[in-house]
Amino acid sequence: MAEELTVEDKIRALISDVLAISRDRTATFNSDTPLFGELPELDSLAVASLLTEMEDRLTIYIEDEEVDADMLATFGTLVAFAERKIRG
Amino acid sequence: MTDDPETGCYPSRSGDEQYIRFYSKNDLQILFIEPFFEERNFLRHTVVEIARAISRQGIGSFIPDWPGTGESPLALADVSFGDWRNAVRDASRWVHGITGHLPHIAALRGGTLLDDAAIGASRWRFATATGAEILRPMRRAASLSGEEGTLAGYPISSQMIAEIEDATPQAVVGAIHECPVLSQGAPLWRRAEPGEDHQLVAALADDLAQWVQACAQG
Repeated sequence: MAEELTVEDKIRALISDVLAISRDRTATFNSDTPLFGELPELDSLAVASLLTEMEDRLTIYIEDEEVDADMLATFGTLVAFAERKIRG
Repeated sequence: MTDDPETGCYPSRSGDEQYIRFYSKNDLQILFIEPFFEERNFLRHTVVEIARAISRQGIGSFIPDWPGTGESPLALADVSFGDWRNAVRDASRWVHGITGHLPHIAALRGGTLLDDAAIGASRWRFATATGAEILRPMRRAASLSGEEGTLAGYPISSQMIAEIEDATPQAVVGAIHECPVLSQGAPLWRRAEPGEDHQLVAALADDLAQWVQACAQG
């Protein structure tokens, strides 16, 4: 039986798919890996696409007020945000 | 039949606008309504490749610009959603006039908000979206980058934003087909860079060609 993907796995896949970053590279991301401001692929339109795709895949709704530099600072903060949203 | 598209102009009530055309004298003609704004850039190649693929089956295509888009003489800031709807209607009527056949309307994403304005033999819709869904990531990008006066780089009038915000794909009289094809991974219009997906192009072209051929056999 296939193991259920963790939120972290899903976000790695999401970043790979939206930003065209290889799965090998996102596999090396840890909670301290910086995202917004560090990944050149992640401009504001890419962030917007990433969040919209994240909403679809995780079936969550992200309020505009929740989107800020802290939430997107590192891979760890983004995963923590998503987990919090899923718990509701 | 040729593999290369030709370009020309069609008359819309707000002025002449360009189109690209894959010529066929077959009685099956498609009028494409492309997605809006950045999504249009991301799917342009896909739309052209679908048109090219179906032209090999003898199906002709028109891919028009709308006022304020592509090569239009008008500035986007000066047009309204109503201008787009009028141009869609004008283009469909014009295709009917020059080919002698009512076009089948193929709309993608935001294009599905306009296809009810066309005079068409049938409608084919891919990845329908509401206007609000299309504006949302653009608004987000604008707020993240502290943009003022434009939305994700597009100078869209506040009137047009309000009109798109309220727009939803409309029920239409006549034959309509919602294309069931799904893209793998993130959809092309949500990627950081425009991409190509040959499998997706082939699947969409097959679905569209089968649909219009089935319509023609009635």
